[in-house]
Amino acid sequence: MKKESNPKAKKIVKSKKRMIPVAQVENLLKRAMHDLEKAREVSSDAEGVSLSQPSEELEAKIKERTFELSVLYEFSNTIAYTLDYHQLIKLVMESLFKIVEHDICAALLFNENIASVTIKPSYAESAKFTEEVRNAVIDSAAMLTGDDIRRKHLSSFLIPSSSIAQPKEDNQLDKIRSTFNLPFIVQAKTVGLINVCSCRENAFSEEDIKLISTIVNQASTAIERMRAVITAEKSKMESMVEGMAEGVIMLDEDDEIVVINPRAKDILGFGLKEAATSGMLKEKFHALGLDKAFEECKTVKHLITKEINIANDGAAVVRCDITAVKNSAGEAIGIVAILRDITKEKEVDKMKSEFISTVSHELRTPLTTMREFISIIADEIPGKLSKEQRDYIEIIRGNIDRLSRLINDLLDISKIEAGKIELKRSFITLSNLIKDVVATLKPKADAKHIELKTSFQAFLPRVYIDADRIVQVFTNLIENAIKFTPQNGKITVKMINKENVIECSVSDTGAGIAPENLGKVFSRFQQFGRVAGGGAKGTGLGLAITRELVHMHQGKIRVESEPGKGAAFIFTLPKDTIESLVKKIIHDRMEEAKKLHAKLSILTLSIIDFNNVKNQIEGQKLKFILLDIERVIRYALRKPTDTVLRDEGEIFVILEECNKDGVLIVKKKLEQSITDYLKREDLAEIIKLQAGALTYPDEAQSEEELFAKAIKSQRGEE
Amino acid sequence: MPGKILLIDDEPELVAAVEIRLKANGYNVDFAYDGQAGMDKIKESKPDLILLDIVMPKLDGYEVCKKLKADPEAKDIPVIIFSASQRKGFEEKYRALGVENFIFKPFESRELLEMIKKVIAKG
Repeated sequence: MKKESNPKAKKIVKSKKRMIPVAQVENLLKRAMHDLEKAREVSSDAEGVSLSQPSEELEAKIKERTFELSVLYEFSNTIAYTLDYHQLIKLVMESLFKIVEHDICAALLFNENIASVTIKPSYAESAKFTEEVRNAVIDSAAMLTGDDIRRKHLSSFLIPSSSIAQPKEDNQLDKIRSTFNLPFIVQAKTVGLINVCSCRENAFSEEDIKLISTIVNQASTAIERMRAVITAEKSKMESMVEGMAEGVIMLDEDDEIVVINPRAKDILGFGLKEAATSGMLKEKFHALGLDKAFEECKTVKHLITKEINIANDGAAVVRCDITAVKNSAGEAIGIVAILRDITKEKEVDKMKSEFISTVSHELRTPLTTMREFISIIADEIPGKLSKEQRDYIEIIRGNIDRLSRLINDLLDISKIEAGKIELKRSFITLSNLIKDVVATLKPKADAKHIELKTSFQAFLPRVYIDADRIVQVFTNLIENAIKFTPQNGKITVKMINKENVIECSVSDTGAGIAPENLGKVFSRFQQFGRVAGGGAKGTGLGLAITRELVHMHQGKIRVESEPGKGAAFIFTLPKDTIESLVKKIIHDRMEEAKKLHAKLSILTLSIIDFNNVKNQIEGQKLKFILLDIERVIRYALRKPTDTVLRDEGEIFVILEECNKDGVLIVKKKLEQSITDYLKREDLAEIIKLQAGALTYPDEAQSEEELFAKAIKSQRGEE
Repeated sequence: MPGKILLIDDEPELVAAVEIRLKANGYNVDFAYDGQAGMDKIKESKPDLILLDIVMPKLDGYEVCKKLKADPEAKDIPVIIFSASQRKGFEEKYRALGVENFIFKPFESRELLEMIKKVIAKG
């Protein structure tokens, strides 16, 4: 270092001093100045030694000081931008690693409820001290504060050593010999601790300790600032939550209430002035079944919407959206529930559906009278009609029918919108169903000289569908095809057995649909440019309803068309068997039962020697008897969560949260009801039932076992 | 074979239309415009079948049905519900009371006639 360069060095140091906001750095600077002065003195005192050549030792010292200062400078600058405790501790440790030689260090930060330990080994090999250092820092903190740190919610982090760092050759890393602690102090209160360790004896000089304490003090200041910012943010959040129109409830992972705003208390029926204790609130959660929903949200679903009825002055119907709060590892560490009073919406909804059903009733009544009188005239009851008169009368009748179809479609679409259509599913032989639809529509096709034919693969499995609704789907599609197919055209109804689905299609030889309109055909009131070949006009709702109905059956629908050559509507229906459905339901219910530590029971009922019964009772009659038996079962159950599945003479009843005693009671009740029914209908001699009951976890410990045993029990093998 | 049919509906014009249709097919027809009057007519004219509307003044179809089925003299007269509303769960409610069948307005005359024929033949 040259003499002229000294003032320059001073200048740098000075400018750095100005930029470092923290007072402790001043000490270091003073020391650096002191070293520098000393160097000058030494140089001027010693004869023959040039001023421009200070001793190498001193130069090294100055270099070291400058490096320390630059690390401190960078540290204090970086921490100014962090609002994350973990990030801050990481910065502390990285800076320490640069300027004080040590083998491992640990930091502990804590508040009333939580504590976090961060450990950073300097070298890969020193990671072996992690557990030792972790315990040491916790014990030291406990001693220092008299607070049992282990009682708090404790989390640990490990910052890996840098891969290139290697200990000096003489450092054995065999045993920690030197260690010291420095506290993080915020407003005269200890909030944490840093513990620096080395395997050397007396590893840390006074200077080292001063350096570390500079860093720790700066970090303390940063913690204080971060706390202030976080408190300010929190109070901002709190006043926001306090003022929200929705009720907000937040629970931590131990189901303790962290936040509950006044609106939530109000909705739950606690007056604003009334002090609702945590116990009272939890009792309320339990009474409303919210506790179960919270638990389910945390363990199973992560997002739950529940409607609850509260009989108090606060609100009558409340919609509760519960979301799980997750940590960075994706584990649920609590929940947030938003409560919304939807009493008004429910009323409006009810009024709307009442309005629609009243209006449709009121519209149908005059239509009925009109239609009946027109039919009487058309049937020539009052007297003969001329050809012209008959034609006009038919036009009137056609339009009355169109109006009544429109009313039905509007009613359907509003029911679908409101989610009010419930499918009444059963196992059906699809080809029989289609044959009926085709037979009904054949006269219409014949009238236009259209060939209406079916093409089914042999041995198609039965499907689990709402027969009335699938008839509606086929009727809509075939009627559409008849409408848009010119005379002498052809309509084909096909069914193909695919891997997981049955694919049904209705294709015609009509004008087809322009490519730009293909995307719109399933939208409401979209009747574009297709040239209808006469006949009854549509309502513009048929395909929209069709699509919804297919979707409700977990199917998909699409349209393919080549303009000029025709169009094909293709939809799928899932290929479920009673066994696959039972398996699926067991799977779903089991997941919940396990998480909630609840029981799950299955009842199996089957008609003994069903083939023989089939020979003795005529098909149609047997179908009605089986439907009646199913109805008797459903009537006897009355719990909405119970599921009944039937295919021919096999019946499964899946009872959620039902223990062994419960299932045996239900079994007895069902057997009695069915026997009563069979006796009443004089069938007791022909139809005999066998029943079985299984409960998880009493007789089966896994879903596979429960399923396998249920199937065995159904077959009477057990 | 045709018999006597009692029609209970609060729409006089519709009643007139159905009456014409039924008479043209050889049936004897009696009618009432509300549930209460209907109950009186049941006792008076002892019909073979009742066509019963639901939404009516004084006594609605459900009440008529209940009273009818509780009356030992009238409980065996078959009832066909003749209604313009198609609410969910509504059929079960009536079937539980012992109603024979349903026909929804607007209806096909042919269907109505066939249903009447079947029900009377059964009774």
